[in-house]
Amino acid sequence: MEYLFTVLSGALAGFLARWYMLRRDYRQYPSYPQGWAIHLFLGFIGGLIGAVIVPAFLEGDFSAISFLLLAATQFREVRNMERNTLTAMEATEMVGRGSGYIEGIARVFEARNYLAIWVALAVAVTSQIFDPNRPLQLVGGLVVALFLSWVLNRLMQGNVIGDIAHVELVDLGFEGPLLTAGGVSVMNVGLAEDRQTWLEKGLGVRIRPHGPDAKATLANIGQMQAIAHDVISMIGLYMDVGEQEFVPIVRRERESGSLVLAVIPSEQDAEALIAAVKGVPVLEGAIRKPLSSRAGQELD
Amino acid sequence: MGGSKKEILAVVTTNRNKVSEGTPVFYAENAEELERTSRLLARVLTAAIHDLDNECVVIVRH
Repeated sequence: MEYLFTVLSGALAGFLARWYMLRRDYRQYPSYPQGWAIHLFLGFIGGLIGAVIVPAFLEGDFSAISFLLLAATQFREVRNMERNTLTAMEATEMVGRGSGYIEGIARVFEARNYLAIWVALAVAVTSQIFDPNRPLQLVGGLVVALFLSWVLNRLMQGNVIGDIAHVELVDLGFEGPLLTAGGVSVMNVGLAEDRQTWLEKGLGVRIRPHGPDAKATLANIGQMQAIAHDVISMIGLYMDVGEQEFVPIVRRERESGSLVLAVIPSEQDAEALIAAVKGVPVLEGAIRKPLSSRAGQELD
Repeated sequence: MGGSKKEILAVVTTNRNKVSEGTPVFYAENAEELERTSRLLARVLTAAIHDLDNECVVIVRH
């Protein structure tokens, strides 16, 4: 089996690249260990597809290549799978992710499999170029795999809120029954007792966008919901099931395009709250760039 | 947030003149009873309590 080394090294590289791209951060998504098992296996399949393309091409077996490409398109299913899982789990979340965030996550998972295929393909090509010099194949493959995984992963990294906006603490108050954060009315809290709880335990932040592009990006309901969800998953929640008066809420200030967040965290720590808001990812689907249009530039 | 189907499940009021038929209405004798009744209702219905600032409180599912 003359291509064994190439195929194995390519598949292994794809698998390891997928592993490298799996994150185990505060979101705990993909969940560990079952979610990991699923994605590592898919990464391995992707790696194998990428690696096998090279010998198929060298043998001139174009029907095999067609089939491999067909197989690669099956990774679209990954996006569906993630979307379905997350949508099904939405009802079990105290503060939902929102469909904007779910779409973003699903897209990332699909894309990472394609990246694994690219890495596997590149390593297989490198290995085949240096064939049959085993040490050179090994070293070359390693260098290519590390470099490509690093570059692709870096290119795929999006911004966080801290990159596009300034986050500052604001006071919470009430205008009649209306809860306000930094003067922006956020929601109607019906009972005096609950208003007192907000004033005692609640915190408010204003997210002030840097420029028109950031302003347009923040004006997205999915992004707003993602901020509420992610902040809560980082600093914890005070409310109980069904206590909708304590749900964290993000609202937009009409004049400036700033967002305000009113939340009762499980611990009243302003520093942690600001750090959490800054760390929320900017959703790919929320990004707008009005400054890239002539109309947008004329407004600015 | 956005797109959810909001619905008024009940109205609690201390002023009989402020409400009409169509939604379940609960009368309260005074402000304290109003708070207590709306709290209990909201717990049962897992809904939010909103004050209309005119002696009426609505229980809303978001």
